[in-house]
Amino acid sequence: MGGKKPVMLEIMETFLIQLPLEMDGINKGIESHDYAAIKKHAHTMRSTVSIMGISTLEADLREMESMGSLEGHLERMKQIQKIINTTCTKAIHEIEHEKLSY
Amino acid sequence: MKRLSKLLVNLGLRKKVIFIVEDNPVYAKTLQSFIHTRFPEIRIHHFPVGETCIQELDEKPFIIIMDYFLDTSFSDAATGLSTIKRIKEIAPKTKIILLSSEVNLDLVMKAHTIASCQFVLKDDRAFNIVERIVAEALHS
Repeated sequence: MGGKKPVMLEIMETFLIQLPLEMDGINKGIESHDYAAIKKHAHTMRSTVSIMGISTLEADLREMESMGSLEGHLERMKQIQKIINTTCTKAIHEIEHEKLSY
Repeated sequence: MKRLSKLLVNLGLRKKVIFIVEDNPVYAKTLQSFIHTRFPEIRIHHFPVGETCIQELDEKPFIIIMDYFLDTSFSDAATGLSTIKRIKEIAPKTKIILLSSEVNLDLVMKAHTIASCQFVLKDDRAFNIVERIVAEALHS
Protein backbone atom coordinates (compact mmCIF):
# COMPACT_ATOMS: atom_id res chain seq x y z
CA MET A 1 0.00 0.00 0.00
CA GLY A 2 2.57 2.52 -1.20
CA GLY A 3 2.08 6.12 -0.10
CA LYS A 4 -0.58 5.06 2.35
CA LYS A 5 1.07 6.12 5.59
CA PRO A 6 -1.99 7.97 6.94
CA VAL A 7 -4.14 4.92 6.20
CA MET A 8 -1.71 2.57 7.93
CA LEU A 9 -1.56 4.92 10.86
CA GLU A 10 -5.33 5.02 11.02
CA ILE A 11 -5.55 1.22 10.93
CA MET A 12 -2.95 0.93 13.69
CA GLU A 13 -4.74 3.51 15.81
CA THR A 14 -8.05 1.71 15.34
CA PHE A 15 -6.36 -1.55 16.30
CA LEU A 16 -4.91 0.04 19.44
CA ILE A 17 -8.38 1.21 20.48
CA GLN A 18 -10.24 -1.92 19.51
CA LEU A 19 -8.04 -4.74 20.77
CA PRO A 20 -8.10 -3.64 24.45
CA LEU A 21 -11.91 -3.37 24.20
CA GLU A 22 -12.12 -6.91 22.87
CA MET A 23 -9.74 -8.20 25.57
CA ASP A 24 -11.84 -6.43 28.17
CA GLY A 25 -15.01 -7.96 26.71
CA ILE A 26 -13.57 -11.49 26.98
CA ASN A 27 -12.16 -10.87 30.47
CA LYS A 28 -15.43 -9.46 31.80
CA GLY A 29 -17.38 -12.25 30.08
CA ILE A 30 -15.27 -14.89 31.82
CA GLU A 31 -15.52 -13.07 35.14
CA SER A 32 -19.31 -12.89 34.95
CA HIS A 33 -19.78 -16.25 33.18
CA ASP A 34 -21.44 -14.42 30.31
CA TYR A 35 -20.89 -17.01 27.60
CA ALA A 36 -22.66 -15.06 24.88
CA ALA A 37 -20.33 -12.10 25.46
CA ILE A 38 -17.27 -14.38 25.46
CA LYS A 39 -18.36 -15.89 22.15
CA LYS A 40 -19.09 -12.52 20.56
CA HIS A 41 -15.82 -10.87 21.62
CA ALA A 42 -13.73 -13.94 20.73
CA HIS A 43 -15.36 -13.94 17.30
CA THR A 44 -14.63 -10.25 16.70
CA MET A 45 -11.10 -10.54 18.03
CA ARG A 46 -10.47 -13.42 15.61
CA SER A 47 -11.03 -11.06 12.66
CA THR A 48 -8.99 -8.29 14.27
CA VAL A 49 -5.91 -10.36 15.03
CA SER A 50 -6.10 -12.21 11.75
CA ILE A 51 -6.07 -8.99 9.73
CA MET A 52 -3.09 -7.75 11.74
CA GLY A 53 -1.19 -10.98 11.10
CA ILE A 54 -1.37 -12.38 14.65
CA SER A 55 -2.18 -15.85 13.42
CA THR A 56 -0.96 -17.57 16.61
CA LEU A 57 -4.22 -16.68 18.34
CA GLU A 58 -6.52 -18.01 15.64
CA ALA A 59 -6.92 -21.52 17.09
CA ASP A 60 -7.24 -20.29 20.69
CA LEU A 61 -9.92 -17.78 19.78
CA ARG A 62 -11.78 -20.34 17.74
CA GLU A 63 -11.72 -22.70 20.74
CA MET A 64 -12.86 -19.89 23.04
CA GLU A 65 -15.71 -19.10 20.65
CA SER A 66 -16.92 -22.69 20.53
CA MET A 67 -16.71 -23.01 24.31
CA GLY A 68 -18.81 -19.85 24.47
CA SER A 69 -21.42 -21.59 22.31
CA LEU A 70 -21.30 -24.67 24.54
CA GLU A 71 -21.59 -22.50 27.66
CA GLY A 72 -19.01 -24.41 29.64
CA HIS A 73 -15.33 -25.34 30.10
CA LEU A 74 -14.61 -22.28 32.22
CA GLU A 75 -11.25 -23.60 33.44
CA ARG A 76 -10.04 -24.13 29.87
CA MET A 77 -11.35 -20.68 29.00
CA LYS A 78 -9.23 -19.18 31.78
CA GLN A 79 -6.14 -20.94 30.41
CA ILE A 80 -6.78 -19.52 26.95
CA GLN A 81 -7.60 -16.13 28.45
CA LYS A 82 -4.04 -15.93 29.81
CA ILE A 83 -2.57 -16.71 26.39
CA ILE A 84 -4.85 -14.15 24.73
CA ASN A 85 -4.03 -11.42 27.24
CA THR A 86 -0.28 -12.05 27.01
CA THR A 87 -0.23 -12.18 23.20
CA CYS A 88 -2.51 -9.15 22.79
CA THR A 89 -0.54 -7.05 25.27
CA LYS A 90 2.63 -7.91 23.35
CA ALA A 91 0.93 -7.06 20.04
CA ILE A 92 -0.27 -3.73 21.41
CA HIS A 93 3.28 -2.83 22.48
CA GLU A 94 4.65 -3.85 19.08
CA ILE A 95 2.07 -1.81 17.19
CA GLU A 96 2.66 1.18 19.47
CA HIS A 97 6.36 0.89 18.68
CA GLU A 98 5.64 0.42 14.94
CA LYS A 99 3.41 3.48 14.97
CA LEU A 100 6.36 5.62 15.98
CA SER A 101 8.08 4.89 12.68
CA TYR A 102 5.12 6.31 10.72
CA MET B 1 -32.29 12.78 -7.61
CA LYS B 2 -31.88 9.01 -7.97
CA ARG B 3 -32.04 9.33 -11.77
CA LEU B 4 -29.45 12.08 -11.75
CA SER B 5 -27.16 10.04 -9.55
CA LYS B 6 -27.43 7.03 -11.88
CA LEU B 7 -26.99 9.19 -14.96
CA LEU B 8 -23.80 10.70 -13.57
CA VAL B 9 -22.42 7.23 -12.84
CA ASN B 10 -23.34 6.03 -16.33
CA LEU B 11 -21.69 9.05 -17.91
CA GLY B 12 -18.57 8.44 -15.89
CA LEU B 13 -19.09 11.77 -14.14
CA ARG B 14 -19.56 10.25 -10.76
CA LYS B 15 -17.49 7.55 -9.12
CA LYS B 16 -18.99 4.12 -8.64
CA VAL B 17 -19.70 3.22 -5.05
CA ILE B 18 -19.02 0.17 -2.92
CA PHE B 19 -20.63 -0.26 0.48
CA ILE B 20 -18.80 -2.17 3.19
CA VAL B 21 -21.06 -3.31 6.02
CA GLU B 22 -18.75 -4.53 8.76
CA ASP B 23 -18.88 -4.05 12.54
CA ASN B 24 -15.19 -4.70 13.08
CA PRO B 25 -13.49 -1.30 12.50
CA VAL B 26 -10.01 -2.77 11.96
CA TYR B 27 -11.26 -5.22 9.35
CA ALA B 28 -13.41 -2.56 7.69
CA LYS B 29 -10.61 0.01 7.47
CA THR B 30 -8.13 -2.54 6.15
CA LEU B 31 -10.56 -3.80 3.51
CA GLN B 32 -11.47 -0.22 2.57
CA SER B 33 -7.82 0.67 2.20
CA PHE B 34 -7.14 -2.46 0.13
CA ILE B 35 -10.01 -1.76 -2.27
CA HIS B 36 -9.04 1.89 -2.53
CA THR B 37 -5.46 0.91 -3.44
CA ARG B 38 -6.63 -1.52 -6.12
CA PHE B 39 -9.52 0.59 -7.43
CA PRO B 40 -8.85 4.28 -6.71
CA GLU B 41 -11.70 5.23 -9.04
CA ILE B 42 -14.26 3.71 -6.69
CA ARG B 43 -15.80 5.50 -3.72
CA ILE B 44 -16.20 3.36 -0.62
CA HIS B 45 -18.66 3.89 2.19
CA HIS B 46 -18.47 1.98 5.44
CA PHE B 47 -21.44 1.15 7.65
CA PRO B 48 -21.12 -0.65 11.00
CA VAL B 49 -24.67 -2.08 10.77
CA GLY B 50 -26.98 -3.09 7.95
CA GLU B 51 -29.79 -0.76 8.97
CA THR B 52 -27.75 2.36 8.10
CA CYS B 53 -26.60 0.83 4.82
CA ILE B 54 -30.22 0.31 3.76
CA GLN B 55 -30.96 3.99 4.41
CA GLU B 56 -28.23 4.95 1.93
CA LEU B 57 -29.20 2.70 -0.97
CA ASP B 58 -30.05 5.84 -2.96
CA GLU B 59 -26.29 6.06 -3.52
CA LYS B 60 -26.70 3.06 -5.86
CA PRO B 61 -23.75 0.95 -4.74
CA PHE B 62 -22.74 -1.49 -7.47
CA ILE B 63 -21.37 -3.90 -4.87
CA ILE B 64 -22.17 -4.34 -1.20
CA ILE B 65 -19.69 -6.28 0.91
CA MET B 66 -21.52 -7.52 3.96
CA ASP B 67 -20.27 -9.22 7.07
CA TYR B 68 -22.60 -11.90 8.45
CA PHE B 69 -22.36 -11.09 12.16
CA LEU B 70 -22.99 -7.41 12.80
CA ASP B 71 -23.88 -7.42 16.47
CA THR B 72 -20.60 -6.49 18.15
CA SER B 73 -21.59 -2.97 19.10
CA PHE B 74 -25.36 -3.28 18.80
CA SER B 75 -26.64 -6.58 20.11
CA ASP B 76 -29.98 -6.25 18.32
CA ALA B 77 -28.44 -5.39 14.93
CA ALA B 78 -29.79 -7.41 12.01
CA THR B 79 -27.60 -10.19 10.64
CA GLY B 80 -25.94 -9.74 7.28
CA LEU B 81 -28.27 -12.26 5.67
CA SER B 82 -31.47 -10.55 6.84
CA THR B 83 -30.06 -7.20 5.70
CA ILE B 84 -29.27 -8.73 2.31
CA LYS B 85 -32.86 -9.95 1.95
CA ARG B 86 -34.09 -6.40 2.59
CA ILE B 87 -31.57 -4.93 0.12
CA LYS B 88 -32.66 -7.40 -2.54
CA GLU B 89 -36.27 -6.23 -2.09
CA ILE B 90 -35.26 -2.59 -2.57
CA ALA B 91 -32.44 -2.92 -5.10
CA PRO B 92 -32.59 -6.44 -6.57
CA LYS B 93 -29.77 -5.92 -9.05
CA THR B 94 -27.17 -5.00 -6.44
CA LYS B 95 -24.26 -7.42 -6.36
CA ILE B 96 -23.62 -8.62 -2.82
CA ILE B 97 -20.67 -10.37 -1.26
CA LEU B 98 -21.32 -12.02 2.09
CA LEU B 99 -18.27 -12.29 4.33
CA SER B 100 -18.02 -14.69 7.22
CA SER B 101 -15.24 -16.22 9.26
CA GLU B 102 -17.27 -19.42 9.52
CA VAL B 103 -17.54 -22.14 6.89
CA ASN B 104 -21.22 -22.74 7.38
CA LEU B 105 -22.71 -24.73 4.52
CA ASP B 106 -26.23 -23.73 5.45
CA LEU B 107 -25.23 -20.07 5.35
CA VAL B 108 -23.44 -20.50 2.02
CA MET B 109 -26.54 -22.14 0.52
CA LYS B 110 -28.88 -19.50 1.91
CA ALA B 111 -26.62 -16.70 0.68
CA HIS B 112 -26.68 -18.18 -2.78
CA THR B 113 -30.29 -19.32 -3.08
CA ILE B 114 -32.12 -16.57 -1.22
CA ALA B 115 -30.11 -13.60 -2.33
CA SER B 116 -27.86 -14.80 -5.19
CA CYS B 117 -24.90 -13.39 -3.35
CA GLN B 118 -21.38 -14.68 -3.29
CA PHE B 119 -19.99 -16.07 -0.09
CA VAL B 120 -16.39 -15.24 0.81
CA LEU B 121 -14.66 -16.81 3.76
CA LYS B 122 -12.74 -14.30 5.87
CA ASP B 123 -9.39 -16.02 5.56
CA ASP B 124 -6.06 -14.80 4.19
CA ARG B 125 -7.37 -15.03 0.60
CA ALA B 126 -10.54 -13.04 1.23
CA PHE B 127 -9.26 -9.67 0.00
CA ASN B 128 -7.96 -11.17 -3.24
CA ILE B 129 -11.27 -12.90 -3.88
CA VAL B 130 -13.09 -9.61 -3.23
CA GLU B 131 -10.68 -7.88 -5.63
CA ARG B 132 -11.47 -10.42 -8.34
CA ILE B 133 -15.23 -10.06 -7.85
CA VAL B 134 -15.00 -6.24 -7.94
CA ALA B 135 -12.83 -6.33 -11.08
CA GLU B 136 -15.29 -8.68 -12.81
CA ALA B 137 -18.26 -6.50 -11.83
CA LEU B 138 -16.49 -3.36 -13.03
CA HIS B 139 -15.84 -4.84 -16.44
CA SER B 140 -19.18 -6.59 -16.89
